[in-house]
Amino acid sequence: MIWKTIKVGFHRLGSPASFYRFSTLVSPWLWAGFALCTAIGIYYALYVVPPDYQQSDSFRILYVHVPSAWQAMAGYVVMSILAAIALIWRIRMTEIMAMMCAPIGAAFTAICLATGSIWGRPMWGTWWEWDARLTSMLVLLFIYLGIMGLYAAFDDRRKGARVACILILVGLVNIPIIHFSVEWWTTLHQGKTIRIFGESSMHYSMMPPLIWMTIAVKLMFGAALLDRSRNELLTQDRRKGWVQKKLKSQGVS
Amino acid sequence: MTPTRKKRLAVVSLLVLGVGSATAIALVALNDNIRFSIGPSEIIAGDFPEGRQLRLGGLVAAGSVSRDPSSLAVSFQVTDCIHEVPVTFNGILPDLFREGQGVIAHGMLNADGVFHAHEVLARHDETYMPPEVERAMALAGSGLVCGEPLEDHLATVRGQNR
Amino acid sequence: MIPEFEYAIYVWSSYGIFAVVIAWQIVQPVLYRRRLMAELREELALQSGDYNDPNS
Repeated sequence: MIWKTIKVGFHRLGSPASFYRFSTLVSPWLWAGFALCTAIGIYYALYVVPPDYQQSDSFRILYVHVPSAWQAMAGYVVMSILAAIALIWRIRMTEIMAMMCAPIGAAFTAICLATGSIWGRPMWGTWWEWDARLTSMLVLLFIYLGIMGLYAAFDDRRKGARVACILILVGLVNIPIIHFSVEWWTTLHQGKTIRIFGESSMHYSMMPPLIWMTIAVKLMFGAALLDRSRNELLTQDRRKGWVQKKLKSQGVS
Repeated sequence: MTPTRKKRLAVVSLLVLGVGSATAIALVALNDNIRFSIGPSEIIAGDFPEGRQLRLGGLVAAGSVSRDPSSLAVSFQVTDCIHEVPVTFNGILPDLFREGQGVIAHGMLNADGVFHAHEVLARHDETYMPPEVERAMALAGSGLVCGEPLEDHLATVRGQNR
Repeated sequence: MIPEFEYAIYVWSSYGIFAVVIAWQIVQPVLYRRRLMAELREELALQSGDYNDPNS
């Protein structure tokens, strides 16, 4: 019963007109949630949490660096799932959404690399070192950019999406490498602090902004994904009946 | 699922598995080159490529740091709590450099067994806590002292975190 | 009001980069949509014959 409802809902979302309506309705709420969580998170990060015993205030960079890094990787996993569905079931909406994950994921990867570099300068004493963690994260940025470039290189959008989806699944191998790099090899980057299973090596008083910012970037990813997919859908379907009907009925907003 | 989709699912799974295992093999083969640094014990055992720039990683041994008052020259011992390697360096040390701190020295090992570094980087551990908590724990620097097993150290830190 | 930090320049530039990149992610789709909508509006006007050529 529930399964059937989900299945029907899924198929509905696969239809362009329903997706358009859904994203127009949902995305403002996600943006609002993002704004709220970010405001709380930044306030805690800059005003409430105490400085670190070792790194003093520079550790506050963690609250933008770590959520961005997680989102860059989580975004890739979401994109891979969409790409696999797109390749197997050939649902156009998932193709579009997989393609639209790439620029957002690239943005988070860029934030992660830039803030990590700024953090490394005063603490490690270097902007950049070719250790396994830093290098694999840079590779992630190039994979994201490669996906965007490949998609843009085809005149036939659907063909471009299909080729890019294969690249997405090839690049998926990099995600476990990034995650385990600090365990498999000696690196300059420290090991992981936050554990889902077991105890984290972060004092509880420093946790709240990390949680708020992590939720914030997840909402932001969702909102930006819906907005971008809606735009892409509109571009592809500009000559189709449902767009023309929409344009005529409600004027153009 | 229709037969076509089943076939596509198989192809997609094979793609992911194939790329995954190919990468795994490559990484295992390259394992030694991906290591960022090597430890004092490996230096002592002679288990390193000779005549090449190395990165030596370990803790700054307690009480081993001696600075030349008239220049930036500094010498210290890097230890993994089993063996120690003397290091000399002439330059600006990162803010986090102190006794008991994890460091990575980039340079070459001399014939006399002294490591001449041209760059010293600090490592920090993955623990984050307010200064009061750290004082309460009465642990200096990174908190890790030789003789204290790493697991015990982490257990103490996590205990404080509760 | 503005907290004074050790390593202030590093902290603020990190948060600055975060703000700029996120802002760009918000603005880019909005600009794109505006441009697209203007195009579509023009096409629709052309079709229905009430298009006023601004150059004429």
